[in-house]
Amino acid sequence: MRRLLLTILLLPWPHALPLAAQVPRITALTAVLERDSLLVDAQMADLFSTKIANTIRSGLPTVVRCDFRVINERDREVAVARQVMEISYDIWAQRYHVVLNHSRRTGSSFEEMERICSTLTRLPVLALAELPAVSTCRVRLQVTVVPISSRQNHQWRERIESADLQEAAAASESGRSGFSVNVSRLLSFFLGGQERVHGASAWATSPPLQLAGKP
Amino acid sequence: MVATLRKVLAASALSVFLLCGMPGAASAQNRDSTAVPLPSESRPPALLVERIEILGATKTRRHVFNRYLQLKPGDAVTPEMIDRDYAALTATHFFKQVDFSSKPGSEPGKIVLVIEVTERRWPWLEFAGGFSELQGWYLVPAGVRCDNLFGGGSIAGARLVIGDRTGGFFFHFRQPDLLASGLDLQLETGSSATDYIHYLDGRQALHKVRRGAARIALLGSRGWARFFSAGIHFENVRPEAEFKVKNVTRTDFPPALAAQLASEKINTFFARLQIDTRDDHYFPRAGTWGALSFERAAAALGATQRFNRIVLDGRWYRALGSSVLAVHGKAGRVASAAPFYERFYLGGAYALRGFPERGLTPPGWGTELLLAQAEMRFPVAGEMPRPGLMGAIFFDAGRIRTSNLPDDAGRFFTSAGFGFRTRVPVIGLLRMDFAYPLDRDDFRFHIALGQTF
Repeated sequence: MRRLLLTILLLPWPHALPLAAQVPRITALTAVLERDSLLVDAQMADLFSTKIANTIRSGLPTVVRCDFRVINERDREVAVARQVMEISYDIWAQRYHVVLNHSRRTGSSFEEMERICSTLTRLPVLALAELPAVSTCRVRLQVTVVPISSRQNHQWRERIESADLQEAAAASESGRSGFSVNVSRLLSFFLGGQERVHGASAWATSPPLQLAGKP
Repeated sequence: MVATLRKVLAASALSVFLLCGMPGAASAQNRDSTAVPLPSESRPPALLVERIEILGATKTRRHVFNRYLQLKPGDAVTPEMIDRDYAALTATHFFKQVDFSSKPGSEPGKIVLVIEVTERRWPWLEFAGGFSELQGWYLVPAGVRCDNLFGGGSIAGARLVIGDRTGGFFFHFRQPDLLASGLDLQLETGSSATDYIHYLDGRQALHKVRRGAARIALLGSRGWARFFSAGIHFENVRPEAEFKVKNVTRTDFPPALAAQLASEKINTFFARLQIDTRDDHYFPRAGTWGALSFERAAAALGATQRFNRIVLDGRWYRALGSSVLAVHGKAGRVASAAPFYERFYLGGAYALRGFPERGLTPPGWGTELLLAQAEMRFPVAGEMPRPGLMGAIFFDAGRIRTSNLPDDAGRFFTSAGFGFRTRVPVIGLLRMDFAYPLDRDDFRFHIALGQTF
């Protein structure tokens, strides 16, 4: 009986592990106004799963996408923005490079690179002029870590856009050209709300930020 | 106004083609587009694929992946190459989810490419549509696909097709690389009714033709076999004995058509030699595509009409800076014993722009066809190599004749024009062309899907 219980407890785990893959967490998020820009400070944890860490260490790049939503006091979205962090590893010089917001930082170890990536300091989100007139706002942030190329994070769009790659859509020999759409896939996307995004954190929300002094 | 525009357009099209055809111009473009190689010491060595691991595939066999993956162990790898293979696997619809990642290989510079898939277990519903010059716009409101049902990469499905001039029901099955032979087995069967367009006394007439067909073919997919395909085609064709002109039913077919209204069994053997060196099937910038097709309707196969048909079709593409010069030539000949629906037509969005669909086709349809088309395609907006909006200027010329009729209709028709191609989500490439016949004051707007050729 004890052995049976032990077997039941242990057996599902190997199957469950890929499903419960590590996702990034946002542990702190603050929005600040500085000069004419809305900036954020953020702290993240568990940014790189084993799969992502292996990809980086192999020498292929990884992308950390930061999606920002600015919401007003009624929780209505008033602006969106995105920043992309590109991580690469020079296997010959054994240096990690992180490119974000047109600046490049270098780390000599994986841990140092992870520290660089996990801390966003005064990252510009929007110019103040791009914000509508609101007295207070909050910033929401979701980070998504995608190995190799951000293209992998948009499978539904990939399939919709590649509809023209079906059948004889190319230079047609018989004067025929067409498209084909996987309706099952589209239905599951629309009925399911949105696509399952791999490697994405939960949305985090900053404390309210007073914009009363906004010109 | 139209005449002036036509002349200006023809002159500009001609000058662009001449300019692009000049050796100096072409070589200058080539010099501009040639990248200066970096000194070898400043370029890091490429990453190499040590091996490819596939996770999550419980039924899909390894050779199915190999068919779609261009990267092989030992190849140098870049993120762009992985993007390309990722797109190829995603487009198969064999998998619900595809993820590429990597891990370090046995030594620095080598990687293990990891492909994680979630297989599709159930058939999927398909919605499709398109444009056919012969059948007009069509939709597949209900289609079922059972691709990769047993993990061998087969493609199978059933489709109900409806359209403004066509309707039918079709089954199709394709088994790639049958018994590791390098040959794909293709089976198709279906039943359809299509309204053929005739021009009788200058007026468009719709003539319904019903067909039931089955086709078995072997198509080469790799090695030397990829240049060849062959098979047999069984078809039972029943043209109706009446036609419609503006909803008025008539039966007074001209003699050239009246003799071709009997039900026929068009059972044929066909063979085809094909070469394809295009760099991209959908937005080609370099390479050629060519096919020589031969078809024989023989009594041995039970055909009620005996005839041979041969078609030579070729396309050539060359990048000129960010533009592409595309040239198409087609020549065909069929015996006069062939009924009209096995003959050639001319005029329309694919065949010869500037003229109505099949508007240049003689009453009994053509037994000899010549078609030449040239297009200069250039990006207007969006990123190369597949810009979101492309412009094109073109020149088309064609000739069609019927061997047993006087040669008066066998002259060349020409047209020139300009157009736009835009990428539209779901439906792909939407093409709009404004074409001006060069022998008359007229113009025609064509809208279709996909590239012209």
